[in-house]
Amino acid sequence: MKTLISGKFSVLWVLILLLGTSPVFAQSDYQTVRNYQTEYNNILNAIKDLQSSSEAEALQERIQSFERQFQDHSTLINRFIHPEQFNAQVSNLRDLTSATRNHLARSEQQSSEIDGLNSQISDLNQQIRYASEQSDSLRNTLEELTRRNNANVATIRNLRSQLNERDEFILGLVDSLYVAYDRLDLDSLPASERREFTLSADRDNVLGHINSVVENNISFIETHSQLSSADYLKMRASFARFNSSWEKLGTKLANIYEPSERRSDKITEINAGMERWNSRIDEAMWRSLNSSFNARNIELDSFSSASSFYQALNRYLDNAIARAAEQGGSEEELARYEQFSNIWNNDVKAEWQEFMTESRILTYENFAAIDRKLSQWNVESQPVSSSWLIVAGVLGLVIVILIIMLVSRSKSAEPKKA
Amino acid sequence: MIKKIAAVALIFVVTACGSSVKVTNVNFAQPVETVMTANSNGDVSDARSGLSFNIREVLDNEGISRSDFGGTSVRVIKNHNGYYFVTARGFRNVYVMEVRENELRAKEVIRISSERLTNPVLNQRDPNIQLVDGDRSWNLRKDGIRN
Repeated sequence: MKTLISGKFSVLWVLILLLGTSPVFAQSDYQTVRNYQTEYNNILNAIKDLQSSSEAEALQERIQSFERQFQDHSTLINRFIHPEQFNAQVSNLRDLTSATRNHLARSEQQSSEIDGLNSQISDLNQQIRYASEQSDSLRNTLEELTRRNNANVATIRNLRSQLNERDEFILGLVDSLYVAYDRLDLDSLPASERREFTLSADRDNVLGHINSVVENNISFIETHSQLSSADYLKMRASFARFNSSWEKLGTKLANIYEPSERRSDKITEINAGMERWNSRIDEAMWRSLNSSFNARNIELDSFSSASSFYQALNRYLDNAIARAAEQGGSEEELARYEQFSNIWNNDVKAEWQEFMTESRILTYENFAAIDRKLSQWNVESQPVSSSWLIVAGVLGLVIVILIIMLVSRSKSAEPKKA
Repeated sequence: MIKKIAAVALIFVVTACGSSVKVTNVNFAQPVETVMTANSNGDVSDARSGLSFNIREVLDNEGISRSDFGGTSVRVIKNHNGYYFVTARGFRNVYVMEVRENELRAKEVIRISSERLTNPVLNQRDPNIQLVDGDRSWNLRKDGIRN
Protein backbone atom coordinates (compact mmCIF):
# COMPACT_ATOMS: atom_id res chain seq x y z
CA MET A 1 0.00 0.00 0.00
CA LYS A 2 2.79 2.37 1.04
CA THR A 3 4.59 1.58 -2.13
CA LEU A 4 1.44 2.36 -4.08
CA ILE A 5 0.95 5.66 -2.32
CA SER A 6 4.58 6.63 -2.64
CA GLY A 7 4.39 5.60 -6.29
CA LYS A 8 1.33 7.85 -6.80
CA PHE A 9 3.15 10.73 -5.07
CA SER A 10 6.20 10.18 -7.25
CA VAL A 11 4.05 10.50 -10.38
CA LEU A 12 2.44 13.62 -8.96
CA TRP A 13 5.84 15.14 -8.20
CA VAL A 14 7.02 14.37 -11.70
CA LEU A 15 3.90 16.02 -13.12
CA ILE A 16 4.38 19.07 -10.92
CA LEU A 17 8.03 19.27 -11.90
CA LEU A 18 7.17 18.87 -15.55
CA LEU A 19 4.53 21.56 -15.36
CA GLY A 20 6.84 23.74 -13.35
CA THR A 21 9.74 23.43 -15.73
CA SER A 22 7.79 23.48 -18.98
CA PRO A 23 8.35 26.74 -20.82
CA VAL A 24 5.81 29.42 -20.27
CA PHE A 25 3.80 29.88 -23.42
CA ALA A 26 5.86 32.13 -25.60
CA GLN A 27 4.20 35.25 -26.84
CA SER A 28 4.65 37.07 -30.07
CA ASP A 29 6.96 40.08 -29.72
CA TYR A 30 4.76 41.73 -32.27
CA GLN A 31 1.75 41.09 -30.03
CA THR A 32 3.64 42.40 -27.00
CA VAL A 33 4.43 45.63 -28.81
CA ARG A 34 0.88 45.86 -30.13
CA ASN A 35 -0.48 45.28 -26.63
CA TYR A 36 1.83 47.94 -25.32
CA GLN A 37 0.77 50.42 -27.97
CA THR A 38 -2.90 49.62 -27.51
CA GLU A 39 -2.72 50.06 -23.75
CA TYR A 40 -0.64 53.21 -24.15
CA ASN A 41 -3.24 54.69 -26.47
CA ASN A 42 -6.06 53.54 -24.21
CA ILE A 43 -4.45 55.28 -21.25
CA LEU A 44 -3.92 58.42 -23.31
CA ASN A 45 -7.60 58.41 -24.23
CA ALA A 46 -8.55 57.69 -20.63
CA ILE A 47 -6.57 60.77 -19.57
CA LYS A 48 -8.57 62.85 -22.03
CA ASP A 49 -11.82 61.47 -20.61
CA LEU A 50 -10.96 61.92 -16.92
CA GLN A 51 -13.86 63.42 -15.01
CA SER A 52 -12.71 63.33 -11.42
CA SER A 53 -9.56 63.25 -9.33
CA SER A 54 -10.50 59.79 -8.04
CA GLU A 55 -10.64 58.53 -11.63
CA ALA A 56 -7.22 60.09 -12.16
CA GLU A 57 -5.87 58.31 -9.10
CA ALA A 58 -7.23 54.99 -10.41
CA LEU A 59 -5.55 55.74 -13.71
CA GLN A 60 -2.25 56.40 -11.95
CA GLU A 61 -2.46 52.90 -10.54
CA ARG A 62 -3.23 51.56 -14.00
CA ILE A 63 -0.11 53.31 -15.33
CA GLN A 64 1.89 51.71 -12.53
CA SER A 65 0.63 48.30 -13.52
CA PHE A 66 1.17 49.10 -17.21
CA GLU A 67 4.78 49.95 -16.46
CA ARG A 68 5.28 46.77 -14.45
CA GLN A 69 3.70 44.67 -17.21
CA PHE A 70 5.93 45.97 -19.99
CA GLN A 71 9.11 46.87 -18.10
CA ASP A 72 10.78 43.55 -19.08
CA HIS A 73 10.01 44.21 -22.73
CA SER A 74 11.30 47.79 -22.70
CA THR A 75 14.27 47.00 -24.96
CA LEU A 76 12.02 45.42 -27.57
CA ILE A 77 9.48 48.23 -27.27
CA ASN A 78 12.19 50.89 -27.52
CA ARG A 79 13.38 49.38 -30.79
CA PHE A 80 9.88 49.37 -32.17
CA ILE A 81 8.77 52.80 -31.03
CA HIS A 82 12.07 54.51 -31.85
CA PRO A 83 12.73 57.47 -31.51
CA GLU A 84 10.31 57.36 -28.60
CA GLN A 85 11.39 55.60 -25.40
CA PHE A 86 9.41 53.32 -23.13
CA ASN A 87 10.44 55.20 -19.97
CA ALA A 88 9.71 58.55 -21.54
CA GLN A 89 6.27 57.43 -22.68
CA VAL A 90 5.36 56.04 -19.26
CA SER A 91 6.69 59.17 -17.62
CA ASN A 92 4.67 61.26 -20.05
CA LEU A 93 1.52 59.34 -19.11
CA ARG A 94 2.28 59.89 -15.45
CA ASP A 95 2.86 63.62 -15.90
CA LEU A 96 -0.30 64.08 -17.94
CA THR A 97 -2.37 62.14 -15.42
CA SER A 98 -0.86 63.98 -12.51
CA ALA A 99 -1.44 67.39 -14.12
CA THR A 100 -5.01 66.41 -14.99
CA ARG A 101 -5.59 65.08 -11.47
CA ASN A 102 -4.35 68.34 -9.94
CA HIS A 103 -6.54 70.36 -12.27
CA LEU A 104 -9.57 68.20 -11.50
CA ALA A 105 -8.87 68.32 -7.77
CA ARG A 106 -8.69 72.11 -7.95
CA SER A 107 -11.92 72.23 -9.94
CA GLU A 108 -13.60 69.85 -7.48
CA GLN A 109 -12.48 71.98 -4.57
CA GLN A 110 -13.72 75.13 -6.31
CA SER A 111 -16.89 73.37 -7.27
CA SER A 112 -17.42 72.36 -3.67
CA GLU A 113 -16.68 75.94 -2.60
CA ILE A 114 -19.18 77.16 -5.18
CA ASP A 115 -21.79 74.76 -3.83
CA GLY A 116 -21.03 75.99 -0.34
CA LEU A 117 -21.24 79.59 -1.44
CA ASN A 118 -24.46 79.03 -3.33
CA SER A 119 -25.93 77.50 -0.22
CA GLN A 120 -24.53 80.40 1.82
CA ILE A 121 -26.01 82.88 -0.65
CA SER A 122 -29.32 81.14 -0.35
CA ASP A 123 -29.21 81.27 3.47
CA LEU A 124 -28.06 84.85 3.54
CA ASN A 125 -30.71 85.92 1.09
CA GLN A 126 -33.34 84.29 3.20
CA GLN A 127 -32.07 86.31 6.13
CA ILE A 128 -31.91 89.44 4.00
CA ARG A 129 -35.48 88.90 2.84
CA TYR A 130 -36.56 88.44 6.43
CA ALA A 131 -34.67 91.56 7.52
CA SER A 132 -36.10 93.53 4.60
CA GLU A 133 -39.60 92.45 5.48
CA GLN A 134 -39.00 93.56 9.05
CA SER A 135 -37.62 96.87 7.82
CA ASP A 136 -40.61 97.40 5.57
CA SER A 137 -42.93 96.65 8.44
CA LEU A 138 -41.08 99.11 10.69
CA ARG A 139 -41.17 101.77 8.01
CA ASN A 140 -44.88 101.25 7.50
CA THR A 141 -45.44 101.64 11.23
CA LEU A 142 -43.40 104.84 11.25
CA GLU A 143 -45.28 106.26 8.29
CA GLU A 144 -48.59 105.35 9.85
CA LEU A 145 -47.62 107.03 13.12
CA THR A 146 -46.43 110.11 11.27
CA ARG A 147 -49.67 110.29 9.27
CA ARG A 148 -51.69 110.13 12.44
CA ASN A 149 -49.49 112.78 14.02
CA ASN A 150 -49.37 110.80 17.19
CA ALA A 151 -45.81 109.65 17.02
CA ASN A 152 -43.70 111.02 19.75
CA VAL A 153 -40.02 111.53 19.20
CA ALA A 154 -39.06 108.67 21.51
CA THR A 155 -41.13 106.20 19.51
CA ILE A 156 -39.72 107.39 16.22
CA ARG A 157 -36.21 107.27 17.62
CA ASN A 158 -36.75 103.74 18.82
CA LEU A 159 -38.10 102.64 15.46
CA ARG A 160 -35.31 104.46 13.68
CA SER A 161 -32.79 102.63 15.81
CA GLN A 162 -34.34 99.31 14.87
CA LEU A 163 -34.24 100.30 11.21
CA ASN A 164 -30.57 101.13 11.54
CA GLU A 165 -29.95 97.72 13.03
CA ARG A 166 -31.69 96.07 10.08
CA ASP A 167 -29.75 98.14 7.57
CA GLU A 168 -26.47 97.30 9.21
CA PHE A 169 -27.48 93.67 9.40
CA ILE A 170 -28.13 93.65 5.66
CA LEU A 171 -24.83 95.40 5.01
CA GLY A 172 -23.07 92.91 7.25
CA LEU A 173 -24.59 90.01 5.37
CA VAL A 174 -23.60 91.43 2.02
CA ASP A 175 -20.16 92.09 3.41
CA SER A 176 -19.71 88.56 4.75
CA LEU A 177 -21.03 87.17 1.49
CA TYR A 178 -18.45 89.16 -0.38
CA VAL A 179 -15.64 88.06 1.95
CA ALA A 180 -16.61 84.44 1.41
CA TYR A 181 -16.86 85.02 -2.30
CA ASP A 182 -13.57 86.88 -2.49
CA ARG A 183 -11.72 83.81 -1.18
CA LEU A 184 -12.75 82.00 -4.30
CA ASP A 185 -10.53 82.75 -7.25
CA LEU A 186 -13.28 82.95 -9.84
CA ASP A 187 -10.88 84.01 -12.56
CA SER A 188 -9.38 80.55 -12.47
CA LEU A 189 -12.75 78.92 -13.16
CA PRO A 190 -13.71 77.91 -16.67
CA ALA A 191 -16.04 80.46 -18.28
CA SER A 192 -19.01 78.10 -18.18
CA GLU A 193 -18.71 77.46 -14.43
CA ARG A 194 -18.23 81.15 -13.76
CA ARG A 195 -21.34 81.96 -15.79
CA GLU A 196 -23.32 79.28 -14.00
CA PHE A 197 -22.26 80.63 -10.60
CA THR A 198 -23.00 84.21 -11.61
CA LEU A 199 -26.46 83.29 -12.88
CA SER A 200 -27.18 81.43 -9.69
CA ALA A 201 -26.06 84.40 -7.62
CA ASP A 202 -27.97 86.82 -9.83
CA ARG A 203 -31.25 85.13 -9.04
CA ASP A 204 -30.83 86.28 -5.49
CA ASN A 205 -30.47 89.90 -6.57
CA VAL A 206 -27.94 91.10 -4.03
CA LEU A 207 -27.66 94.56 -5.59
CA GLY A 208 -31.45 94.85 -5.41
CA HIS A 209 -31.25 94.53 -1.62
CA ILE A 210 -28.53 97.17 -1.45
CA ASN A 211 -30.59 99.53 -3.58
CA SER A 212 -33.66 99.01 -1.42
CA VAL A 213 -31.63 99.90 1.70
CA VAL A 214 -30.54 103.13 -0.01
CA GLU A 215 -34.02 104.05 -1.27
CA ASN A 216 -35.70 103.24 2.04
CA ASN A 217 -33.27 105.46 3.90
CA ILE A 218 -33.85 108.35 1.50
CA SER A 219 -37.58 107.92 1.83
CA PHE A 220 -37.30 107.84 5.62
CA ILE A 221 -35.29 111.07 5.78
CA GLU A 222 -37.69 112.81 3.43
CA THR A 223 -40.73 111.83 5.47
CA HIS A 224 -39.35 112.38 8.99
CA SER A 225 -38.15 115.87 9.79
CA GLN A 226 -38.71 115.84 13.53
CA LEU A 227 -35.69 113.81 14.47
CA SER A 228 -32.94 115.11 16.70
CA SER A 229 -29.38 116.02 15.74
CA ALA A 230 -28.24 112.82 17.47
CA ASP A 231 -30.57 110.79 15.24
CA TYR A 232 -29.23 112.45 12.11
CA LEU A 233 -25.66 112.00 13.25
CA LYS A 234 -26.29 108.31 13.80
CA MET A 235 -27.84 108.07 10.35
CA ARG A 236 -24.87 109.84 8.84
CA ALA A 237 -22.45 107.44 10.55
CA SER A 238 -24.52 104.56 9.28
CA PHE A 239 -24.44 106.06 5.79
CA ALA A 240 -20.65 106.51 6.02
CA ARG A 241 -20.20 102.82 6.83
CA PHE A 242 -22.58 101.76 4.09
CA ASN A 243 -20.97 104.08 1.58
CA SER A 244 -17.47 102.91 2.47
CA SER A 245 -18.49 99.28 1.93
CA TRP A 246 -20.20 100.18 -1.31
CA GLU A 247 -17.13 102.01 -2.60
CA LYS A 248 -14.99 99.04 -1.66
CA LEU A 249 -17.24 96.26 -2.89
CA GLY A 250 -19.77 97.81 -5.24
CA THR A 251 -18.05 97.21 -8.53
CA LYS A 252 -16.93 93.74 -7.51
CA LEU A 253 -20.39 92.78 -6.32
CA ALA A 254 -21.84 94.07 -9.57
CA ASN A 255 -19.33 92.00 -11.52
CA ILE A 256 -20.45 88.94 -9.63
CA TYR A 257 -24.16 89.45 -9.28
CA GLU A 258 -25.25 91.49 -12.26
CA PRO A 259 -25.34 90.34 -15.85
CA SER A 260 -22.99 92.47 -17.93
CA GLU A 261 -25.79 94.19 -19.86
CA ARG A 262 -27.40 95.53 -16.66
CA ARG A 263 -24.24 96.05 -14.63
CA SER A 264 -23.37 99.60 -15.57
CA ASP A 265 -26.96 100.87 -15.16
CA LYS A 266 -27.28 99.21 -11.78
CA ILE A 267 -24.04 100.71 -10.48
CA THR A 268 -25.06 104.16 -11.75
CA GLU A 269 -28.46 103.79 -10.12
CA ILE A 270 -27.00 102.85 -6.73
CA ASN A 271 -24.29 105.53 -6.95
CA ALA A 272 -26.96 108.15 -7.64
CA GLY A 273 -28.98 106.79 -4.71
CA MET A 274 -25.93 107.02 -2.45
CA GLU A 275 -25.42 110.68 -3.45
CA ARG A 276 -29.07 111.51 -2.77
CA TRP A 277 -28.93 109.69 0.55
CA ASN A 278 -25.79 111.62 1.49
CA SER A 279 -27.19 115.02 0.50
CA ARG A 280 -30.53 114.39 2.27
CA ILE A 281 -28.78 113.40 5.50
CA ASP A 282 -26.35 116.32 5.23
CA GLU A 283 -29.10 118.87 4.70
CA ALA A 284 -31.17 117.51 7.56
CA MET A 285 -28.21 117.04 9.88
CA TRP A 286 -26.68 120.54 9.43
CA ARG A 287 -30.08 122.09 9.76
CA SER A 288 -30.69 120.13 12.95
CA LEU A 289 -27.26 120.96 14.40
CA ASN A 290 -27.78 124.66 13.70
CA SER A 291 -31.14 124.43 15.47
CA SER A 292 -29.61 122.60 18.44
CA PHE A 293 -27.09 125.41 19.04
CA ASN A 294 -29.65 128.14 18.35
CA ALA A 295 -32.06 126.56 20.82
CA ARG A 296 -29.41 127.08 23.51
CA ASN A 297 -28.93 130.70 22.44
CA ILE A 298 -25.56 129.93 21.00
CA GLU A 299 -25.24 131.77 17.78
CA LEU A 300 -22.65 130.08 15.66
CA ASP A 301 -21.82 131.31 12.18
CA SER A 302 -23.93 129.40 9.73
CA PHE A 303 -22.43 126.08 8.62
CA SER A 304 -23.31 123.37 6.15
CA SER A 305 -20.21 121.19 6.10
CA ALA A 306 -17.74 119.57 8.47
CA SER A 307 -15.12 122.26 7.90
CA SER A 308 -17.50 125.19 8.21
CA PHE A 309 -18.94 123.66 11.40
CA TYR A 310 -15.47 123.36 12.92
CA GLN A 311 -14.62 126.91 11.81
CA ALA A 312 -17.85 128.19 13.34
CA LEU A 313 -17.05 126.54 16.68
CA ASN A 314 -13.51 127.93 16.67
CA ARG A 315 -14.59 131.41 15.71
CA TYR A 316 -17.21 131.41 18.45
CA LEU A 317 -14.68 130.33 21.11
CA ASP A 318 -11.93 132.66 19.86
CA ASN A 319 -14.32 135.60 20.06
CA ALA A 320 -15.46 134.56 23.53
CA ILE A 321 -11.90 134.21 24.84
CA ALA A 322 -10.89 137.56 23.36
CA ARG A 323 -13.96 139.20 24.80
CA ALA A 324 -13.36 137.75 28.30
CA ALA A 325 -9.72 138.73 28.23
CA GLU A 326 -10.55 142.24 27.22
CA GLN A 327 -13.52 142.84 29.50
CA GLY A 328 -12.45 140.58 32.34
CA GLY A 329 -14.40 137.77 33.86
CA SER A 330 -17.95 138.30 34.88
CA GLU A 331 -21.04 136.44 35.88
CA GLU A 332 -22.48 137.04 32.42
CA GLU A 333 -19.38 135.72 30.69
CA LEU A 334 -19.37 132.71 32.95
CA ALA A 335 -23.02 132.03 32.15
CA ARG A 336 -22.23 132.18 28.42
CA TYR A 337 -19.36 129.83 28.97
CA GLU A 338 -21.52 127.40 30.92
CA GLN A 339 -24.16 127.49 28.24
CA PHE A 340 -21.70 126.49 25.60
CA SER A 341 -19.92 124.05 27.91
CA ASN A 342 -23.23 122.41 28.64
CA ILE A 343 -24.07 121.67 25.02
CA TRP A 344 -20.47 120.78 24.25
CA ASN A 345 -20.03 118.34 27.12
CA ASN A 346 -23.54 117.01 27.56
CA ASP A 347 -24.64 116.79 23.94
CA VAL A 348 -21.75 117.02 21.54
CA LYS A 349 -19.22 114.97 23.49
CA ALA A 350 -21.56 112.70 25.42
CA GLU A 351 -24.01 111.88 22.64
CA TRP A 352 -22.59 112.89 19.27
CA GLN A 353 -18.84 112.43 19.45
CA GLU A 354 -18.86 108.79 18.37
CA PHE A 355 -21.00 109.50 15.32
CA MET A 356 -19.23 112.77 14.51
CA THR A 357 -15.83 111.08 14.43
CA GLU A 358 -17.20 108.11 12.51
CA SER A 359 -18.77 110.38 9.91
CA ARG A 360 -15.61 112.49 9.87
CA ILE A 361 -17.40 115.67 10.93
CA LEU A 362 -14.88 116.25 13.70
CA THR A 363 -11.72 114.36 14.53
CA TYR A 364 -10.48 113.57 18.02
CA GLU A 365 -7.86 116.29 17.51
CA ASN A 366 -10.65 118.75 16.68
CA PHE A 367 -12.41 117.79 19.93
CA ALA A 368 -9.18 118.22 21.89
CA ALA A 369 -8.58 121.65 20.32
CA ILE A 370 -12.09 122.81 21.20
CA ASP A 371 -11.63 121.44 24.75
CA ARG A 372 -8.43 123.49 25.15
CA LYS A 373 -10.16 126.67 23.98
CA LEU A 374 -13.09 125.95 26.25
CA SER A 375 -10.73 125.65 29.27
CA GLN A 376 -9.10 128.93 28.34
CA TRP A 377 -12.48 130.60 28.07
CA ASN A 378 -13.40 129.16 31.47
CA VAL A 379 -10.35 130.75 33.06
CA GLU A 380 -10.89 134.08 31.34
CA SER A 381 -14.57 134.21 32.13
CA GLN A 382 -14.26 133.77 35.90
CA PRO A 383 -15.63 136.93 37.66
CA VAL A 384 -13.63 138.50 40.55
CA SER A 385 -15.32 137.18 43.72
CA SER A 386 -16.43 139.59 46.65
CA SER A 387 -15.05 137.17 49.23
CA TRP A 388 -11.69 137.66 47.67
CA LEU A 389 -12.05 141.42 48.26
CA ILE A 390 -12.94 140.87 51.92
CA VAL A 391 -9.98 138.59 52.40
CA ALA A 392 -7.75 141.12 50.70
CA GLY A 393 -9.16 143.93 52.94
CA VAL A 394 -8.65 141.91 56.12
CA LEU A 395 -5.14 141.06 55.03
CA GLY A 396 -4.42 144.75 54.34
CA LEU A 397 -5.79 145.74 57.77
CA VAL A 398 -3.66 143.12 59.50
CA ILE A 399 -0.59 144.40 57.69
CA VAL A 400 -1.33 148.04 58.72
CA ILE A 401 -1.80 146.98 62.37
CA LEU A 402 1.44 145.05 62.31
CA ILE A 403 3.31 148.01 60.90
CA ILE A 404 1.88 150.33 63.56
CA MET A 405 2.84 147.87 66.29
CA LEU A 406 6.37 147.56 64.99
CA VAL A 407 6.80 151.32 64.76
CA SER A 408 5.47 151.92 68.28
CA ARG A 409 7.68 149.15 69.72
CA SER A 410 10.75 150.57 68.11
CA LYS A 411 9.97 154.03 69.57
CA SER A 412 9.58 152.69 73.14
CA ALA A 413 12.84 150.79 72.87
CA GLU A 414 14.91 153.98 72.16
CA PRO A 415 17.11 155.03 75.26
CA LYS A 416 15.80 158.00 77.12
CA LYS A 417 18.08 161.04 76.91
CA ALA A 418 19.51 162.08 80.20
CA MET B 1 36.87 50.21 -82.98
CA ILE B 2 39.47 51.62 -80.65
CA LYS B 3 36.80 53.82 -79.11
CA LYS B 4 34.59 50.78 -78.46
CA ILE B 5 37.45 48.90 -76.82
CA ALA B 6 38.25 51.93 -74.64
CA ALA B 7 34.61 52.22 -73.60
CA VAL B 8 34.39 48.54 -72.63
CA ALA B 9 37.64 48.85 -70.69
CA LEU B 10 36.28 51.87 -68.86
CA ILE B 11 33.13 49.95 -67.93
CA PHE B 12 35.24 47.12 -66.54
CA VAL B 13 37.32 49.54 -64.53
CA VAL B 14 34.27 51.28 -63.09
CA THR B 15 32.56 47.98 -62.36
CA ALA B 16 35.68 46.67 -60.71
CA CYS B 17 35.90 49.80 -58.54
CA GLY B 18 32.22 49.46 -57.54
CA SER B 19 32.44 45.83 -56.53
CA SER B 20 35.43 46.52 -54.32
CA VAL B 21 33.28 48.61 -51.93
CA LYS B 22 31.92 46.25 -49.35
CA VAL B 23 30.30 46.72 -45.95
CA THR B 24 30.72 43.74 -43.72
CA ASN B 25 29.31 42.54 -40.41
CA VAL B 26 25.91 43.92 -41.27
CA ASN B 27 23.16 42.87 -38.89
CA PHE B 28 19.86 42.78 -40.72
CA ALA B 29 17.93 41.49 -37.72
CA GLN B 30 14.47 42.99 -37.64
CA PRO B 31 13.40 43.46 -34.01
CA VAL B 32 9.78 42.60 -34.47
CA GLU B 33 8.03 40.61 -37.14
CA THR B 34 5.99 42.37 -39.78
CA VAL B 35 2.40 41.24 -39.92
CA MET B 36 0.58 41.87 -43.19
CA THR B 37 -2.94 40.90 -44.11
CA ALA B 38 -3.31 39.22 -47.47
CA ASN B 39 -6.11 40.18 -49.79
CA SER B 40 -8.02 37.65 -51.86
CA ASN B 41 -5.43 38.05 -54.59
CA GLY B 42 -2.58 37.11 -52.26
CA ASP B 43 -1.14 40.61 -52.16
CA VAL B 44 0.46 41.72 -48.91
CA SER B 45 2.09 45.01 -47.99
CA ASP B 46 3.48 46.83 -44.98
CA ALA B 47 3.08 50.59 -44.91
CA ARG B 48 5.80 51.08 -42.32
CA SER B 49 8.65 49.29 -44.13
CA GLY B 50 7.23 49.63 -47.64
CA LEU B 51 7.66 45.90 -48.25
CA SER B 52 5.04 44.41 -50.59
CA PHE B 53 4.78 41.22 -52.59
CA ASN B 54 2.35 38.56 -53.76
CA ILE B 55 2.30 35.29 -51.85
CA ARG B 56 0.66 33.30 -54.60
CA GLU B 57 3.65 31.00 -55.26
CA VAL B 58 3.97 30.16 -51.55
CA LEU B 59 0.25 29.43 -51.27
CA ASP B 60 0.46 27.09 -54.24
CA ASN B 61 3.30 25.31 -52.49
CA GLU B 62 1.20 25.02 -49.33
CA GLY B 63 -1.85 23.89 -51.30
CA ILE B 64 -3.95 26.80 -50.10
CA SER B 65 -6.27 28.69 -52.42
CA ARG B 66 -5.83 32.44 -52.63
CA SER B 67 -9.50 33.12 -52.05
CA ASP B 68 -9.46 31.02 -48.88
CA PHE B 69 -6.34 32.79 -47.75
CA GLY B 70 -7.74 36.34 -48.09
CA GLY B 71 -7.76 38.14 -44.75
CA THR B 72 -5.08 35.89 -43.26
CA SER B 73 -2.03 37.47 -41.62
CA VAL B 74 1.30 36.78 -43.27
CA ARG B 75 4.19 37.03 -40.83
CA VAL B 76 7.60 38.06 -42.01
CA ILE B 77 10.82 38.69 -40.11
CA LYS B 78 14.38 39.22 -41.29
CA ASN B 79 17.18 37.46 -39.43
CA HIS B 80 20.63 38.85 -38.79
CA ASN B 81 21.90 37.43 -42.12
CA GLY B 82 19.24 39.31 -44.03
CA TYR B 83 17.04 36.33 -44.87
CA TYR B 84 13.31 36.77 -44.67
CA PHE B 85 11.41 34.10 -42.74
CA VAL B 86 7.84 33.88 -43.96
CA THR B 87 4.93 31.89 -42.56
CA ALA B 88 1.21 32.13 -41.90
CA ARG B 89 -1.68 30.28 -40.34
CA GLY B 90 -2.39 27.12 -42.33
CA PHE B 91 1.21 26.69 -43.47
CA ARG B 92 3.20 23.60 -42.73
CA ASN B 93 6.49 25.33 -43.51
CA VAL B 94 8.53 28.42 -42.76
CA TYR B 95 10.05 29.88 -45.90
CA VAL B 96 13.58 31.23 -45.67
CA MET B 97 13.78 33.72 -48.52
CA GLU B 98 16.77 35.55 -49.84
CA VAL B 99 16.52 38.90 -51.48
CA ARG B 100 17.15 39.09 -55.18
CA GLU B 101 16.47 41.90 -57.55
CA ASN B 102 12.71 42.36 -57.30
CA GLU B 103 12.23 38.92 -55.89
CA LEU B 104 12.33 36.81 -52.81
CA ARG B 105 13.66 33.41 -53.55
CA ALA B 106 13.27 30.46 -51.19
CA LYS B 107 16.66 29.47 -49.90
CA GLU B 108 15.17 26.91 -47.56
CA VAL B 109 11.73 25.60 -46.90
CA ILE B 110 11.69 24.46 -43.29
CA ARG B 111 9.12 21.77 -42.62
CA ILE B 112 7.71 22.41 -39.16
CA SER B 113 5.10 19.76 -38.83
CA SER B 114 2.84 17.54 -40.81
CA GLU B 115 0.00 19.48 -39.25
CA ARG B 116 -0.76 22.97 -40.39
CA LEU B 117 0.25 25.83 -38.10
CA THR B 118 -2.73 27.29 -36.28
CA ASN B 119 -1.45 30.55 -34.85
CA PRO B 120 2.20 31.07 -35.75
CA VAL B 121 4.28 34.04 -34.66
CA LEU B 122 7.92 34.86 -35.36
CA ASN B 123 10.25 36.41 -32.83
CA GLN B 124 13.76 37.70 -33.21
CA ARG B 125 16.04 35.67 -30.97
CA ASP B 126 19.30 36.48 -32.62
CA PRO B 127 20.99 34.38 -33.98
CA ASN B 128 17.77 32.36 -34.18
CA ILE B 129 14.31 33.15 -35.34
CA GLN B 130 11.82 31.77 -32.88
CA LEU B 131 8.65 30.26 -34.28
CA VAL B 132 5.85 29.97 -31.75
CA ASP B 133 2.62 28.17 -32.46
CA GLY B 134 0.35 27.84 -29.49
CA ASP B 135 2.34 26.13 -26.79
CA ARG B 136 5.08 24.92 -29.10
CA SER B 137 8.15 26.78 -30.25
CA TRP B 138 11.09 26.18 -32.55
CA ASN B 139 14.38 27.91 -33.07
CA LEU B 140 15.05 28.43 -36.74
CA ARG B 141 18.06 29.42 -38.76
CA LYS B 142 18.45 29.94 -42.45
CA ASP B 143 19.14 26.27 -43.01
CA GLY B 144 16.60 24.65 -40.73
CA ILE B 145 15.43 23.99 -37.20
CA ARG B 146 17.95 24.34 -34.36
CA ASN B 147 17.00 22.81 -31.10
